[in-house]
Amino acid sequence: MAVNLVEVKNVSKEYVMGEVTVKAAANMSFCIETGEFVVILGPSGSGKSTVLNIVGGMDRPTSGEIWVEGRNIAELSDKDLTLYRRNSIGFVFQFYNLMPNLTALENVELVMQTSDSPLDAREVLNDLGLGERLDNFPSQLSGGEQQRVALARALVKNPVLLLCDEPTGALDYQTGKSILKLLNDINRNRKKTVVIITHNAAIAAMADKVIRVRSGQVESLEMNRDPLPPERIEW
Amino acid sequence: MNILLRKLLRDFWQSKGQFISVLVLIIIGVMCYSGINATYRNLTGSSDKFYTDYRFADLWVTFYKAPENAEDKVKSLPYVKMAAGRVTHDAKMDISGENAVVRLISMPDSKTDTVNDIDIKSGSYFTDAGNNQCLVEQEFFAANGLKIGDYIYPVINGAKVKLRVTGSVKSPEFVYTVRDSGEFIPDNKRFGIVYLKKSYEQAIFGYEGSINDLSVILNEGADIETAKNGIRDLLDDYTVTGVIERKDQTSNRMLNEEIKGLRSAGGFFPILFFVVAAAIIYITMSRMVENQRTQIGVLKAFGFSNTFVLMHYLSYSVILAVTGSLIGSVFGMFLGKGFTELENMYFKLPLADMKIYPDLVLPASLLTLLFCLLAGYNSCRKVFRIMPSEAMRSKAPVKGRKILLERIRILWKNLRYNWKMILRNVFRYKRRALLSSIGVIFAVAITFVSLSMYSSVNYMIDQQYTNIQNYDIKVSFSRLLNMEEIGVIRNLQYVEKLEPVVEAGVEIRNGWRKKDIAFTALVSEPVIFKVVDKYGRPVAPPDNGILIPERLSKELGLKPGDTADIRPYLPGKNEKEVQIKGLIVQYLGNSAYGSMESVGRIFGEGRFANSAVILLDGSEHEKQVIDRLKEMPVVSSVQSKSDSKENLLKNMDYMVSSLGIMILLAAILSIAVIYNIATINIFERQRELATMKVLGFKDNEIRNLIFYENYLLTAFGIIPGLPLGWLIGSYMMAVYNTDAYTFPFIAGAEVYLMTAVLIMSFTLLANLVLRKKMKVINMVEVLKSNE
Repeated sequence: MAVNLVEVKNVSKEYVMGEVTVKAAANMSFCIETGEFVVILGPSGSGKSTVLNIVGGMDRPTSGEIWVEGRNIAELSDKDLTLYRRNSIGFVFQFYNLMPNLTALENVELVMQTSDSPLDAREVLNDLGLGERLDNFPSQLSGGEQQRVALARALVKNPVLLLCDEPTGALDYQTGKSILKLLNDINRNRKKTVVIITHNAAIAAMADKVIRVRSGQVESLEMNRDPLPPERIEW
Repeated sequence: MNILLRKLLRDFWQSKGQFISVLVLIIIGVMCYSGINATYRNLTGSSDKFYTDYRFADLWVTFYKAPENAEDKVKSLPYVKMAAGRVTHDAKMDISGENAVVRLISMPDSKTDTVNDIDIKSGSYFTDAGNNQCLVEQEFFAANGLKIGDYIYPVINGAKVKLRVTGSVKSPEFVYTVRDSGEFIPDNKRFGIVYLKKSYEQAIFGYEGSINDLSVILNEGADIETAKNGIRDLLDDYTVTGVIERKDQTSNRMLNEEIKGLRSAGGFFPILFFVVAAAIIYITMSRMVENQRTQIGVLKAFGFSNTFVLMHYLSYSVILAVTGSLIGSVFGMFLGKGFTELENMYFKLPLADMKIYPDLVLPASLLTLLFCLLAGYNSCRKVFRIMPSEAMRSKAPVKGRKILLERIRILWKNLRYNWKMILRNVFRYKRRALLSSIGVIFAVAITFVSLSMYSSVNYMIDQQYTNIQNYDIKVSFSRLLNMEEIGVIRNLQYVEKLEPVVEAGVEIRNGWRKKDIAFTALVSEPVIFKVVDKYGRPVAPPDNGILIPERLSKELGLKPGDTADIRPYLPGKNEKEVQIKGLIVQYLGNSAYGSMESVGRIFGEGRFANSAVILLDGSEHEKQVIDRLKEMPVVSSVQSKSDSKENLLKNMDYMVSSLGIMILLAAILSIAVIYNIATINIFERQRELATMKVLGFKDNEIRNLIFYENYLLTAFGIIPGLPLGWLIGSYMMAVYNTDAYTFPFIAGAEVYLMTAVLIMSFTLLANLVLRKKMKVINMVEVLKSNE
């Protein structure tokens, strides 16, 4: 039996904005198993970003528990949350968020310096097809290349969980698919747990598990017996 | 425009820290301008009025003794408007348990409008009731707690004379009351002026029908040199010992030097602050225009003209300039008043007409506006180039670029990522880095100048009071003493060592260049009163020539080996040719030095002395020895070194606090600049910083990315700032040098180090303020799209 890597239990999140209280998540529960490829699906405003923030250790829930590797990260101090983000999570963002001042290689090396047992930066970049672009600055790279650097940056510190926020959102169709392919390979070959947060329903087809979110609640949770290879996904 | 103005005000509010910091710089600039200039006007206005009202002299002529009708002879000269003959004499006196010296000056027996007249501050002028009435200069009066009707007892010809104080007075001749030009800070307890009835002073000094001093006012437009020579020739029979013109008169010269200093400070400081404020405005507004490209595009798309948009952004500068000038002017008025009073602690001018000068507000405001508009216009010019359509598109991503430093591969490879980011960031925004350096450079220069002045003055005091004047007591005699007579003093109890000294006034001449200086003769190998070179090494006074201060050598164009002519101001002495044997450094006074042997050659006299320096075998007996000396009829005055040093050190507090203010200003400059640059930096890199936070970088690691950059920029400012400070410092010290004193410019390694440490700690302070800004970096920023 597979082990639960992440267990989200009855998580609620409220934002107080002036005089109104916005309920971004209401009593959400789900779990993610080690090695799973999970897609969290929902339209904008559904609460999926809140899930990303909370599972990624960027924010704490108003109530509920998030167990990751045997720790309830809802109770961690700011300092420990920083360490949690540093050691356990690999982030991939919609807009890449590379350091404009650092080359591709340096962007990857940047996070290596915060990691205890990093992989080899050049190797990871080579694997992702960036062997020729190591010394280029982000402004000299295409969107897809930038996203691959971002992927390398997330992978190099060998995180337990790869959290991807709309990884294809800023990319064209073909490039988007190639990124999905890479993520799929990373999941299958490196046995990394990958979580994609997206509004693109087509991506759900390649997932082991699909969590649909709507109005701050988990609407459905389904297992995919036969995930499609990314090449066959269309949108 | 109304709505747009509202938008602008909200923009201000969002960056209020920056707005306030620039405003502070402008306020300080305007405040310095109006405050210092008001002080300048107050002092010049008050002194001009005082000088005119009380008929301050143009020339002072001193001689041994002349009949009273010399006054009439001088008056008959065509260029002389007024002349007044007087008898002046210094006398020692015990007062408030101390040994003081008073200058007794004769005034007409009944009130007449005379040259160098006195302003009665309390009491009344002489009356017919008794001869022994006196009027006391008000500072001495106050410092010694005198009251009208009190008696004072100066010693005249060995006997105490009882004088009744009938009033306190102030004279334009002693606005800055120092005994002579060698003393540079007034000691109101130990030196003062006492005015006596002319007939009475003549009687007690045996000057019946005679005078020894003439104060002269010339007709307007009269040539000063002609007058000096004419009067000197006219009175040649009476052995003229000195002709001093107004610009060399001690009190007036000290006042003028201070006024001159104020004038340059009143121009220099405001400009400094305006330049830095302008640099910050330029950076801030360039950024504002850059960040509001879309808004500008929208405005243009709606049909607002270029000029309109430009005006809109320029109003940021205008608001800053106007607010700053108004607040600064108001503060400046108070500063001007306070500053004038502070200055007047030394120059006791009657400040009847201290005013507020509204006309200073206009130039200050215009100057501010000019700087702000220049900076604003240059940063907003870009508005013209923004096309409506282009502005609607998103901004091109920031380009990363390799910098020159990366060519040095070994160095670059070993740098940590944070330094790579910092260095690339600094070089990416070179202009910004340069502009911010200006502020830091100024701050460094100001700090360096302040600290080096402090160290120079300390060095000077140390040299003067431990190396040069190694004695405890200096005693002056009322006549020339031979060595036997001096032996009596040497044999006094507790006197460890005594060295006789000759001090006399001489005129030194090299061709057409001449100068009235002092001549000091010392023993051949002086131990307790030395002459030193510029390295502080003792130089032996020569037997067959003289040593002169370096400054004098430049002034007269003399170098060692040259010969000069010396004419002693002693009755019946002629000019003698002497050789310059070497150059020395003299911090206080302006004197040529020779040995006691040389006196014979120059003055044609045997061995004699008119003063002596004494080293005691223990400072605890100082009082006893001084008392003993004062009892001797031949002793005209006794000076204790510790007293004069103490008086000087007491006044150092004032200097320390004014240096403190300078360093505070430097701190404000440097903090304002660093704070602004960093604020912009943080704002522009929010996304980068937020990403790093999400990636698990610790708060301090992220902070240091900005903070280290601040330290780096500071270091960049320190490097050129130190030599600049050195230049300004040595220039200022050279300017402060006068006939009366030479300031060495001493800036040791500790001055450099201390400046660097101070400037770095200002940046540390700025960083502390910025911590709050760094705290609010929002991680959710990373999820947003590029704007």
